[in-house]
Amino acid sequence: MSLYKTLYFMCLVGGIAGLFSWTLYALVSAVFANQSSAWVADVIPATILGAFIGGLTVAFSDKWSGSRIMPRWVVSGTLIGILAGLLAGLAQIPITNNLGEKAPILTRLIAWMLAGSFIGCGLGLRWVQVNRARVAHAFAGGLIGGALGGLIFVGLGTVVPDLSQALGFVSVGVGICFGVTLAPILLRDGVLQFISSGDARAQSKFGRSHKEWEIQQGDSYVVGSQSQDLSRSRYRPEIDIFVPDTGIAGRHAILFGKNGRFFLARHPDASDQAALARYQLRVRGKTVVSSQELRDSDDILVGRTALKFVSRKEK
Amino acid sequence: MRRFISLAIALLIAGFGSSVSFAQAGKLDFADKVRLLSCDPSTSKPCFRVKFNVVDAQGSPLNINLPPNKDLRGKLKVYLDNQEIDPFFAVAQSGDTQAVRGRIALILVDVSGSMNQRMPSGQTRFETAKAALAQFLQGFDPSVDRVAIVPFESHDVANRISSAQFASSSAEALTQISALPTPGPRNNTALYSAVVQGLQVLAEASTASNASGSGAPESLLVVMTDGKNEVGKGDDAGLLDGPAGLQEAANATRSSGVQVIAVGFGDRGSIDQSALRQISTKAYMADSLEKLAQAFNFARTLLTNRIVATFASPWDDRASLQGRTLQVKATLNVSGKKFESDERQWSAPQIGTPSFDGKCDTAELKAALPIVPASGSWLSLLRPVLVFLGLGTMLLVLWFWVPRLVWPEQYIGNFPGSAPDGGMRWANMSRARSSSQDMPMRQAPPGFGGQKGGAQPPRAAGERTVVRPEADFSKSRLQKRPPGGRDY
Repeated sequence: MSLYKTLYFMCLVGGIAGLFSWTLYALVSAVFANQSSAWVADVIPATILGAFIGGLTVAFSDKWSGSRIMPRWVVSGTLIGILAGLLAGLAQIPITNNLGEKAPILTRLIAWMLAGSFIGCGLGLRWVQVNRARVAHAFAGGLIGGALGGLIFVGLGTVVPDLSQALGFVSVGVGICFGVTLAPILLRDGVLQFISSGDARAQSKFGRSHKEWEIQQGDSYVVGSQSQDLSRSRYRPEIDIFVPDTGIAGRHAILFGKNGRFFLARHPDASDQAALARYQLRVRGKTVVSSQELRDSDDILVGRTALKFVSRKEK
Repeated sequence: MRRFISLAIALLIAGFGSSVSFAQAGKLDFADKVRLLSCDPSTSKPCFRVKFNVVDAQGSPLNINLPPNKDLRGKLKVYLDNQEIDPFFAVAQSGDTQAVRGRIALILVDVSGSMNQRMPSGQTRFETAKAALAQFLQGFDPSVDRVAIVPFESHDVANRISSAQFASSSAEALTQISALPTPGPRNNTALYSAVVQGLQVLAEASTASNASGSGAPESLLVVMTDGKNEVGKGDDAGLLDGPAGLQEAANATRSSGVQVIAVGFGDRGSIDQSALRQISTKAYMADSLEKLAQAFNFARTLLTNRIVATFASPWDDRASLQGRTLQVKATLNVSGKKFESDERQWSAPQIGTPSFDGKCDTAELKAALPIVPASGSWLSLLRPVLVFLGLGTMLLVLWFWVPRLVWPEQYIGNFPGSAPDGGMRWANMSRARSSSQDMPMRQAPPGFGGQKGGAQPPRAAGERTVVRPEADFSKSRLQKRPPGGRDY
């Protein structure tokens, strides 16, 4: 799936998560209409929103990045979303106490922004090993989404009840997913494009959609074919660029950006003599033994899969 | 003559002015926060309950002749965002103990070292305070009243206050007063922490009463001190202090909605009056036994002489209150005098839907039945379903239909005859091309040419495939038949 198509569908996933959250919250609110603490009425929706956005975003981002959807990652995403929503709900209590009476509209906006940014931040933690800046991007995306949701809620709240809240939830979901997905696209310094593969599975998976992986300075991606079933991590795939090619080692190569330059290196797991002979790694037709700097329009052969590196800076 | 006329006009204006000021000498003072109530089954409309005291300009309780409860409703008007609303229920609790669901009062008495100072009367401040406290118990009604008197200083503050026992008789309360410990010379004053802890205790007692079905009682916190918040080494850890501690105590008072009466006793110069005003809803200063007794008497009156009014919201359901911040005020017209309250804010949660603070009691339900419409419009029930269906449909369209317009090439198969450049799409419409002709072929990227990878010349029709057996099947290759070779 191309980058912009991924962005489009991820935003829709956020919107769906928002709508489901609102529906569940409306049911919960109808059942538990009698309780005395007003802050609970803010903690519960933020927590439900975090749960849905966390779970659905993890599931769909894995699906579209070519990885398998691992239930334990979805559960982790849901739990982190719940925690982030809970913290956001609690964090707005002192703000409401101090600012609520003096500036009610601003307080509402801040509460929505807190919910969006905290949940976004929780999602961004997924990519902290790839690039720490992703957490900040996700945070900023969530902040903007939350502000949008808050504006809709405040603006339409007294005119169209229910719809304003539902649209607010949907907007926060869209905003968070937009931020999480768009930031790497906007800030990308290069793109790795799938060209073709001699392996039918890889060709069938990525050939039609012309899969692209965005790369940014500071990123560090592991390229490989290791099945997600073998992954031991709890929240994110161990293989960032997963290509189901039998000619590619489980952990084949590392693609990283440093000091404004990009490099492709053999993964330590595929660096011994046997692996050198068995697993191909070529840049511009030359076999990579340790590491190789990448330049714009470089052709890369990984196993039986041809990729192309396009650098934005050199264009 | 002109001078006489202008003097007469001036006198008239002055007289009118004084009559206005006389009419507004008293005012309504909110005794509790505005509470959202469920009056189901009488009506599905959300209702609000407000409570007031009638006080003078200094905030002291004012004794006025209120009409009987059956007439009080007509004298009271409530304004919700300047929209006038007639309450469906109003009662003055002073004349009707049946209307009182219960009263709980927590009195916190400062036993810091400075309370040992002697007053001109020869008694210490502490002894004077004990004598004045009895004033609060006058008119104690065992059927509705519960009072706890708890000492506080800077040691064991949280434990002492949270273990408060609410006395249900005047004798029990007097025992608590006589059991107050003598102030220790090294005791400081954890005023802010005491207020926060006291409010928690009242909230728990109120919740317990509500859960037992007795309804939320009238609550009051009285805190008496002779100084200011002071904590130091050797005191409890985590005691509130400084501007942040003051802010936290003030926030706790404001958000609780409970009436907090602060009584500053002793030398005015040593009392932090500004802090007392911030952490309370009303502050009184006293420097003698008489004035202290009067302050406790005022506190008692503010607890017992409350006017309660309940009114239905103009909106049909709770969801319609989402995101709203309402300004509530009230007026009471009695004996030609108009008492007006300040504005008090009611605010819906920042994100969620407001939940009910409690339920209407039986008297309120009975009063609502003939006045308030039983249910809101059918739209209240249908609206969330319509919102879900509408937004769900929109998302489905965006998911399944819009991408086909934006990325058509990924949804239309590349069969012979299809033309991405806008040509005919159907094979039987004469523009079909032969499968071997014009098929897009990607050139092998530089470096990928050679024998094993990249584009290979197309196979001729007559070529035959031979399979060479090898020990490792995975290494078998499809090859062209060598000239003169054998078929296997």
